[in-house]
Amino acid sequence: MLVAASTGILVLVGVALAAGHALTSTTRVTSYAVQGTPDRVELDLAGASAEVVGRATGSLAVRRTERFSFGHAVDERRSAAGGVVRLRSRCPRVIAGRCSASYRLTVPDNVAVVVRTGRGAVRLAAFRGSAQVLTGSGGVTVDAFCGFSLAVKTVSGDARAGAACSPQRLDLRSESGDLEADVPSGTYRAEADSNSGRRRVMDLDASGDAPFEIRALSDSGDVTVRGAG
Amino acid sequence: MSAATQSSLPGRSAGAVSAAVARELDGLDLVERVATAGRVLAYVVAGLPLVAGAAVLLIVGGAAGLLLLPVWVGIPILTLTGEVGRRYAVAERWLANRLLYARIPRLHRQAPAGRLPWPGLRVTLRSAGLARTVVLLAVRLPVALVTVAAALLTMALVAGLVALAVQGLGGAAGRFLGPLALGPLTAVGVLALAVPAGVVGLAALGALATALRHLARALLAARAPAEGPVREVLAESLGDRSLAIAYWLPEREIFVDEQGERVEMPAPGSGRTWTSVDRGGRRVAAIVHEADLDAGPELVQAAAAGAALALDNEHLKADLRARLEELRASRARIVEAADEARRRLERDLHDGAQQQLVALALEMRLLKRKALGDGETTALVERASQKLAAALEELRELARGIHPAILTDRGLGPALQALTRRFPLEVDCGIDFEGRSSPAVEAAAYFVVTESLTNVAKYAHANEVRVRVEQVGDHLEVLVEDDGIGGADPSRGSGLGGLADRLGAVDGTLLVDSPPGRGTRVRARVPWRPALAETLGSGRGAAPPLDAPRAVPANGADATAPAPAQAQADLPGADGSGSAPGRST
Repeated sequence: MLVAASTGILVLVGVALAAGHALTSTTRVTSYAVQGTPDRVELDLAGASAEVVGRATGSLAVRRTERFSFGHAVDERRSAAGGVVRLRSRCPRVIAGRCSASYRLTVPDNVAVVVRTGRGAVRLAAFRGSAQVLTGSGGVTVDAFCGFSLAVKTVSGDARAGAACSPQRLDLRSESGDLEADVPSGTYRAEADSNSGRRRVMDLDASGDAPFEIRALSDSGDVTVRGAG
Repeated sequence: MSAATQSSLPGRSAGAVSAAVARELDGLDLVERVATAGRVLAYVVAGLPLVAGAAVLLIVGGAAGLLLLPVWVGIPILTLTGEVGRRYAVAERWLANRLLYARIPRLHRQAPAGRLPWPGLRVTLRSAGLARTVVLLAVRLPVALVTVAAALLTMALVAGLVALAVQGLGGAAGRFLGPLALGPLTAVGVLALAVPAGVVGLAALGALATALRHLARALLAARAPAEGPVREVLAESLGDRSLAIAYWLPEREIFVDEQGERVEMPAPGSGRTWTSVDRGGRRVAAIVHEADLDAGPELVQAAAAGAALALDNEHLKADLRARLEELRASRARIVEAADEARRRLERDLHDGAQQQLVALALEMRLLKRKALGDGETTALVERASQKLAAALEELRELARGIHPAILTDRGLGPALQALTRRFPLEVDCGIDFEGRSSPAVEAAAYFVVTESLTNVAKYAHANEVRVRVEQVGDHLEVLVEDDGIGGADPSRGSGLGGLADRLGAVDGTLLVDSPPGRGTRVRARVPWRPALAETLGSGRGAAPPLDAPRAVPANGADATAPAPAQAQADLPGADGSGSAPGRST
C-alpha cells in the first residue's frame, strides 16, 4: 500500500513537471546591433555557446537564441565603456526544467574578441582580428582565421584552429583536450608538445628565427600541427 | 450532536490517520528492507568477480579442452573445467544462501560412472547441473548490472533530493526546481519527496532480491521429486541423503520409525541433529539430519512446514505400525511364556513323577526277584511291572508332547530326528541347517513337524511321509508331506490353526495344501537367525527387550526386516495360549 502510494506520488510529480516543461518550453531569438566600432568585444557566456563570424566592415551584430521553460530565461547584461563591449550571459540553474542560450556575433575586422565559456562551445569563422578564447569543457573551432594573434585555452575541450593566413602568434593550450593547428605554408617557430598524448608536427617548415610562432601544448591530449607544405 | 462531540471528531480523525500511518510504517519493516537492499547489493558486488573469474575459466578451459580433445589432453582439461563450474555453483549457492536467504540445499556431486576420467567427464558434461551453471553465468552479469543500476538510481535520486533540500534550506538563490524557486518551502517539499523515493527504491531492490533468489533457486536447487516417499522428497530438497524421519507418538512420548519401532534422537555433538515438525500446534514428527546442513535451519523449517501434511499422514501409519509391532511383541511374549511353562512342566514330570515311577519299577524288580518260587505272587508282580512300564512310557510320551527336553538341550535337529525315529511309519527325513536359533523359533518349527506327523498318523492313511527342514537364506523352511487321503482343513479345530498363530508370533507363515485324495503338504517358513552363544541351551533370550529404543539409522533406510523373536521367559505367571502339540484337528 505504502509502496503503491509512494510510486503514485513520484509518478504524479514527474508527470506534472514533464507536462509543465512541455507546456512552457520556449525558443526565443533576440537580435541587436552595437552602434560604432568597438576596439574589443568581451563575451562571458558560462554555459552558452558562441559563434563569431568576421565581416569586413559594419557594426557589431548580436543574435541570441535562447531556449527555456517555466519562464526561466537567460539573464544577459551588456555594457560598453572605453571602446570595450562586454556581454555577460547567465542561465539560472534550473532542475527539472531548461535554460540554454547560443550567441552569434558578427564582428568587423580588426576588432579583438575575448570569449569565456564553461561548457559552451566556441566557433570562430573567417575572423580577422586577434582573438582569445577560454573554455572549460567546451570545444573550440576556428576556421579561416586571419589575424595577428589567436590564443585558445581549454581545460578539457578540444581545440582545432585553421588559419587562412600565417598568424603572428598561434597559441593553443589544454589540460586534457586534443589540439590541432593547420597553418598555411611559411616558416614557423613551432613548439608542439604533450606530456602523455601523441605529438605530431607535419609538413611544417620550422626555424628558430622565423617570424611566426606556433605553440600547441597539452598535458594529456594529442597535439597535431600541420603545415601546408 | 453536542459541541464536545463535534470538536472531538477532528482529533479522532488525526489519531486514526496517525495510527494508520504507524501501521503502514510498521508493515513496511523499514529496517528489514534496508537490510535486504544492503544484502542484495553485497550479493551483486561480491558476485561480480566470482562471475568474471568463473566465466573466463569456463570459456578458456572449455575451448582449450575441446580443441585438445583429439590428442586426449583435452579430457583432463574438460574435467577440470567441469569441476570449476561445480565449484562456482557451490560458491554461488553459498552467496545466495547467506545474502539472499535463498535456502538452496547442498549441491550433489555427480557420481562418475567409472574410474576412468572419460565416463566421469561424460557424466559431468551431460549433467543438468553444469548446464544450469552455464545459464547462471550467462544471466548473472546482466541481472547484476540491472541491479546495480537500480540501486545507484535509487541512491542517486534520494541523495539528490536530500541535497536539493539542504541547498534549499540553506538559501540557494537563483536556483529553481521546475517553476519553483528553491527556497526553504520548496526544500521541505523536496525532502518530503525523498521519503517515497526511498520507499520505492527499497521496494525495487527488494523485488530484485526476490527475483535473484528465485533465479538462484531455479538454477541451483536440485529438482525435488514431486512425488514419492516423504523421506526421499525431503532428503532431495535438503540435500542430505542420510536424512531420516521419526514420528512422534504422544501417548507414549516416544519417537518411532516408519516400521513403528522406537528410535532415539541424536545426541548433541554427534554430528546429527533433529528438527521438530509441528502441525496445528502439535508435534507430528522429527526430521533427523546432518548438523552442519549449511542451508540453514530456515530451510529445514520451511521443508518441514511444507511436508507437515504428508508427515502427518505418515505419522498415522507409523502409529498403526507401532501398535502392530507392540501387538506382535506381545504375542511373541505370550507364546514364549507358554513354551517356558511347558518346559517347566516337562521338567517337573521328568524330575518328579517320572523319577518316582522309575524308582517304583526298580523296587518292583527287587520284589519280583524275592518272590521267586511263589508263582502267583510273581505273576502278580509281573503284571504290575508291565502296567508300570506302560504308565512310565505314557508319561514320557506326555512329557515329550508338552515340550521335549531334547529340543531345549540339543536343538531342533536332534529333536526332529528323535521324533521321526519314534514315528510308527517310516519317515524320509532331510535336515539341512546349521546352528541354533531362538527357543521360540525352534519350538515353532518343531511343533509344525509334530503336529503334521500326528495328523498323518491319525487321519492321512499314508504310506510315505517326507520331512524336509532346511535353511534358505535367512529363513528356515519346513515341509511335511504325505501321500495320504488329504482333505485337511486348517480352519477346523485348533491344531493347524494354533500352529499358524505360533508361527505368526515369530514372523513365520504356514501354508497347508491338502486336496482330497492327493496327500497333504504342510509348509512353514520362519526367520532363522542364529542365537547368541550365551543363550544356547538356556532357553532365555539375552537380546535387549522388544521395546528397547534403536538409534535412528544414518542412511535413513530403515530395516524393514522384522525384529528377531526374542525370548521373554521372565514373565511371571504367564500362561500359554498356544495349541497343545501332538493334538490333532
